[in-house]
Amino acid sequence: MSQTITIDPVTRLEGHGKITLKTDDNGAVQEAFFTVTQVRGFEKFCEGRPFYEMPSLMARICGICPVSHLVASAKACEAIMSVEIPHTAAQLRRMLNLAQMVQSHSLSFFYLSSPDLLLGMDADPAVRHLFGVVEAKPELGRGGVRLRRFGQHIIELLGNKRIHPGWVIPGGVTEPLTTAKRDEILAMIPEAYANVKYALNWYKQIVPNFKDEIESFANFPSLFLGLVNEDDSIEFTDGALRLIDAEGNIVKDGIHAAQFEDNFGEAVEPYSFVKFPYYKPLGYPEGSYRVGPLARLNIAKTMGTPLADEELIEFKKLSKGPVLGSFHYHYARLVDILYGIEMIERILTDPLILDKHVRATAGVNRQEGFGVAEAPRGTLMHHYKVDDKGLMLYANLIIATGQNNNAMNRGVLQTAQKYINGKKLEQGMLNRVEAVIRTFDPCLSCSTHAFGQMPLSIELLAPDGSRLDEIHR
Amino acid sequence: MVPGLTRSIVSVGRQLVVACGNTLRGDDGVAWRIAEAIQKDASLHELRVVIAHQLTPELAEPISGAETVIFVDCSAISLPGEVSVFPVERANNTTGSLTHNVDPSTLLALSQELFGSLPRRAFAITVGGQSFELGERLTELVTLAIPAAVQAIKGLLKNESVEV
Repeated sequence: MSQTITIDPVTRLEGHGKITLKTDDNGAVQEAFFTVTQVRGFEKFCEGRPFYEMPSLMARICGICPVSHLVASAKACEAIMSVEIPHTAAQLRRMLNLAQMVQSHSLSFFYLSSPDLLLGMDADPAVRHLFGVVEAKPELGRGGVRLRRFGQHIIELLGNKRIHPGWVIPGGVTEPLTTAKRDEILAMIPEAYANVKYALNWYKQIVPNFKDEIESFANFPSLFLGLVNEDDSIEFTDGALRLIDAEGNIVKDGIHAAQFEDNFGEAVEPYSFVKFPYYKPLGYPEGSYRVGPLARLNIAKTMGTPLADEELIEFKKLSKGPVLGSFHYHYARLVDILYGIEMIERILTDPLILDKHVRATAGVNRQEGFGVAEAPRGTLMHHYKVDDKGLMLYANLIIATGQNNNAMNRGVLQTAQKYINGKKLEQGMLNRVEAVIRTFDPCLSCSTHAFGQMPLSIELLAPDGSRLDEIHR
Repeated sequence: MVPGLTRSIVSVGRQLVVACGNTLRGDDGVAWRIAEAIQKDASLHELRVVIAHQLTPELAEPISGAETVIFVDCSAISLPGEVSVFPVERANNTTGSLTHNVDPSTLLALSQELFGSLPRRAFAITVGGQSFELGERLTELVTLAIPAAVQAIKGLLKNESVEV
């Protein structure tokens, strides 16, 4: 008899979601749905507000990656103002964005995923969490906590707040960097290097234990999207978008923020509030793509920093073309962190970094603006329209997690078909179905915006729709 | 300054207050107001105060270096405006993912496991909340309880038995 399996809630994610698996009469999984039922109202309730309020307002979408929203929003506002921000302001914002990436990736890798990687996918859920990591390998747990603290403290020093700093504004930043703060950040860098290098070495030792998961965790051909610089190096704050295919061919290059909507559309599926972005010329779902650490490393030809470049060379040896297995998001995340530390150090040694000119001012010079930045989880786009007085008429946000939505759903199906026997549900099977989503590190709060709390579950349904089994966390 | 309280009496060398709550949800922000009050108190100028939305694992490090830690939060189950003081002990068993939100007992355990030490004394001070609706204002009962909570913190820092 066919059935439906529900995993509800899916644990160790940013936000809450639910997985539904439908089996046939033989218990083989036929369909899989990753459902997010939270609703984001931000686009609607910002209408009528002055555009210059948008960075502070939009940052409230998320407590994990508010800086990405600050940066993308400020850039959209600067397009409306038609201004180029001062060099020092651009560098300081780049550093803030990288610091956020480091803290967010540390949360994902060390807090959320390292329990699976260290203790195993079949370990008892009662011990498969950060505390279990701390007990089994305290150096790893301590390094993760310290790396997250490194990123958070930079945000706190620059923005005067760890969460939702108001320092980034349309036109630049509110105040320049002081010598004392620069020196404090520089003093933290050697330990940050040590912690990420330790994690990289450890990860390379344990990754051979996960051959099956590497093969089945959202491992399929797809397009990849991300920001790059003109010299083909990875970029998080400026640059232009590049789309490549599963063989590494450039499908479209030099896509600037204002061209985003010309190139990408959003499909809707009835089971989720998260939309399904796609590359318009290929249509939906053929034009679906992946974003985030894996996509960034697949797209960039160089990291632009020496230590991360050594890792990129090693990463690219995983495949002749782009690395298609989503399990390697974990590895890419660590390389991102290493790059972030190197770039922060480089930015702090910029001779102009203490310059006092950090803000450009202007009024409304255009009635439409786009801003793109790389959030930790991938490309983030803000699009605004304003009236002559600068009051918001329209906003649309295309979030990284949404852009990975199709791949996450395909990945859940692929993993479930390998590990789920519809006649019996076991924790190890279910954890692998959750873990494939964890590789993408989705931020469900960002992708829909949470309103209240919706836990995630796995549900097993029969072909007639009747519920045969359900697991809640 | 509280009568009779001098800087020499309040020994604050390695003392830490961790205040947490959400200032956008009415009375849930009371710990921030208490923290701001003690930060303005000249007699407590060496006291380290950490203000946070939630208790997260990163707090284990500053906690591990403190001799006394006092957690301050709003209580959804106490009577509105009621100030309560509890000793906090290290958790023996920890479950859950420990990502965004941990409790004081677990933070003590984490500080021991990760950084090899934990405070000699640990307390929680709570103020009963009345309204958690959207808004940055505290209700009157909760506002009136702030001085008592500040006094309770000072008493604990002086190593006094606290009655509230």
